[in-house]
Amino acid sequence: MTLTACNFGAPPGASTQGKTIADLYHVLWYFAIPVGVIVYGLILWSIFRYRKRPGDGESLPKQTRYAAKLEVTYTIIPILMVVAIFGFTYHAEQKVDHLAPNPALTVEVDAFQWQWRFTYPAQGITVVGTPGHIPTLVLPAGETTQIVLRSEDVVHAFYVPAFLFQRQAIPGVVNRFDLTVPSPGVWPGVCSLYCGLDHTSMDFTVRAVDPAEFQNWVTGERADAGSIGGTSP
Amino acid sequence: MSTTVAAPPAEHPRTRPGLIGWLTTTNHKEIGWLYLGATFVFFLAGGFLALLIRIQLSRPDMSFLSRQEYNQIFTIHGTTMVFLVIAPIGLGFANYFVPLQIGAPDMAFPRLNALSVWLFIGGGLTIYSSFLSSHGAASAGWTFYAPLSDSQFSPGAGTDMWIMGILCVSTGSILTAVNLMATVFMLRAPGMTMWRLPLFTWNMLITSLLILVAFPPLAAALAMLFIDRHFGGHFYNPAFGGSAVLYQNLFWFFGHPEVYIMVLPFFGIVTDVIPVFSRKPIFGYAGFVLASMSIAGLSMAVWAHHMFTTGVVDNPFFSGMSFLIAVPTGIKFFNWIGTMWRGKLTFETPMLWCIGFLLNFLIGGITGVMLASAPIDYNMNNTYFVVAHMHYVLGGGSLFAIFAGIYYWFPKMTGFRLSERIGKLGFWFTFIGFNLTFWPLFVVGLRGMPRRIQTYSPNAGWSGPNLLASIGFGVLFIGVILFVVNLIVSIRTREPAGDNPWDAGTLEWATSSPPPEHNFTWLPPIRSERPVFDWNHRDDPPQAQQAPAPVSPGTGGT
Repeated sequence: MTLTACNFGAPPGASTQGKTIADLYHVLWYFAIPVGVIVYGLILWSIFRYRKRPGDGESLPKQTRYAAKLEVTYTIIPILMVVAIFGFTYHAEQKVDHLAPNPALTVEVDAFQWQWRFTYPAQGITVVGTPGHIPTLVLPAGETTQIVLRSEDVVHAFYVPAFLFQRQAIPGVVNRFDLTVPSPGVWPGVCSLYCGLDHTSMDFTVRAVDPAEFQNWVTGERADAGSIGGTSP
Repeated sequence: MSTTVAAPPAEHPRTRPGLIGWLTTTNHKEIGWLYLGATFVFFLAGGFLALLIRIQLSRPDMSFLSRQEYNQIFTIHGTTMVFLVIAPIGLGFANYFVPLQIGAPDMAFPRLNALSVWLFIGGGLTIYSSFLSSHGAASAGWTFYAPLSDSQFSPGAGTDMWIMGILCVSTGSILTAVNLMATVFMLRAPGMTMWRLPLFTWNMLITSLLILVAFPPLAAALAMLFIDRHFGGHFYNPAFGGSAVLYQNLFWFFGHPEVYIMVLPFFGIVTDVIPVFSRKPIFGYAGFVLASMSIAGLSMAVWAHHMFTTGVVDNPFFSGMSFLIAVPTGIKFFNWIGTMWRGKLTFETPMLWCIGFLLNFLIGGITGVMLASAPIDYNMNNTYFVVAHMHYVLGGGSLFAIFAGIYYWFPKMTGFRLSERIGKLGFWFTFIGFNLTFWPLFVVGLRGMPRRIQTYSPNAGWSGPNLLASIGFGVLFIGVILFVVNLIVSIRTREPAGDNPWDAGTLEWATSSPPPEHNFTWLPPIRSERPVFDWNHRDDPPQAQQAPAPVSPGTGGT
């Protein structure tokens, strides 16, 4: 409960990149709350303070049409706030979109109606979802994984709410981003961009494991392999 | 001293009676009625589709609607509200009131005007009749992203009928925009300089300019899609050198100015209504006009904030431009607050809806600034947070302002009043219902619920807020039904309104209610943006009256 309040409703960010986004999200609330309180306060004050009361008579209030200094002030202050918000946004985006030159692992993620295929080219492993069987993307915790995102048909989007991150999978476009998950865990992922009839069930799971366990998983998958439509753990 | 205008030509009614009359009319007020009537029918239809959506999502694992049905319903719900309700209702108000507000007898091109409204109605009926086609209505989402909308992934006549319907609606909008601009530039009464235009008219002029910029790219995007579907084009097919991103760029180059096409007219209504019920002129007239212009300018450079997650656009540029829109929008809030400040406010129904607009729209605006930050959008894009934000802007904002406009102008259009009692009751149901429906959607959005999913698991943590939203929608629905009840009751009782029941200031209140065919037999002298108010209060004791807007130096030149 307290956690929810501190985080303004968003998850804290289970990945390093997601943590950056969660922090930026907090910063924006520190701008939004005062603005909201002040503007709401002015509106409500006007409504209650300046309503016509019985016995006010029919005379007109002062017919003020403008106040140049005030108007300049309420133009300049928001501009300064925009500059500040832009600075925070730019800084966070550089961090989130940064691509490590030597990622520990590269996974090719292919989206298609209405499943995901996770290919580990260096390890020779392929994981494909089937109807009724959600595929799992296994990652080593504490290391940086580069995701190479593609689509085979329509536009999809790879979204893990716990990482506060999504990226579109667009036919003809190869998108790359880094995921760094500091500690082991399991999180649901979805296709967030509407992609046709079974969009609703285009789900996957992300599982981060200790690097040693990841090696075991790789070995196990290789032993099972031969079947390209390999299983997920 | 009153200024007389050239007497209208001897009465030879251009309108024939009955149904033939409505089908053949070229009178701007009757065309306004056609727009408003048609958009209201589409609004009820789109609202009914929303009801089906909220029933389906009220509980996890519901099977009230199949996936195919659900996909068609949310596609047509969005299409209806955007293309057939919010945008054209602005054109409907403009048809009726822009000529009246500038002291003109009609629109500049009456027959073109008739063509526009029938293109709009025909386009809407084309889209709705597609429910009867073999594959049902279009189901590619109202954004109609290619390649999902191409012939391979969306076969069937419903998709083509959607494209054709939208092309008709676009063409109608473009023609109306030309017509409105010509009307405002050429047909203003003597003394009605540009800097004395009522602010609804100003905003409609700027909206018309946006329509001229935004709709042709949409028409081009859809024409290319149609060529891809039927004539072997590959505009959006990367396998043959086309680009799926091209569709998103073209669509949102339309789509973001479109947001302001769906907002600026209603900013205009609110800005006409608040001064009347505050007993003051608008505060910061020139600032308001300049803010509308900057919103229009900026709106053409922010389209890719809908594409932050594509990974192929310059996110910082589009973030920065989008943040900047908060500045002119903020100016408008201060215009409205400054107008109410030290006024003598009364809360008849039009003002009540304006207050609802202010309170809701602020939430839409603040969440909009958050979404303009690209990294935040990486999380929120395509979730219910966006759905809630956009409904706060277009529902809590525009729709509330539309109701303000209806309650404000209904006496002028008919000669009798809507019931204040039912109107206020309807407002409270709508206001509470609206917030109960859409506030919980922010919460599920933050918990990662993507939009456009047909159902969800009970383990996802989304059940409670969704149930609350569905109950809230029931309350909202009662509010809309109360409006229909109000129409029926008021049409029966016909309480006479008089020519100027609100002591309003703009020129439409100088003529009878409803106005005669050629609108005016007399005009007051036009010395400010509220000539009727000046005339009606000409004998008041001199007040501490500021000169009209500082931008019109003494002479009142344009």
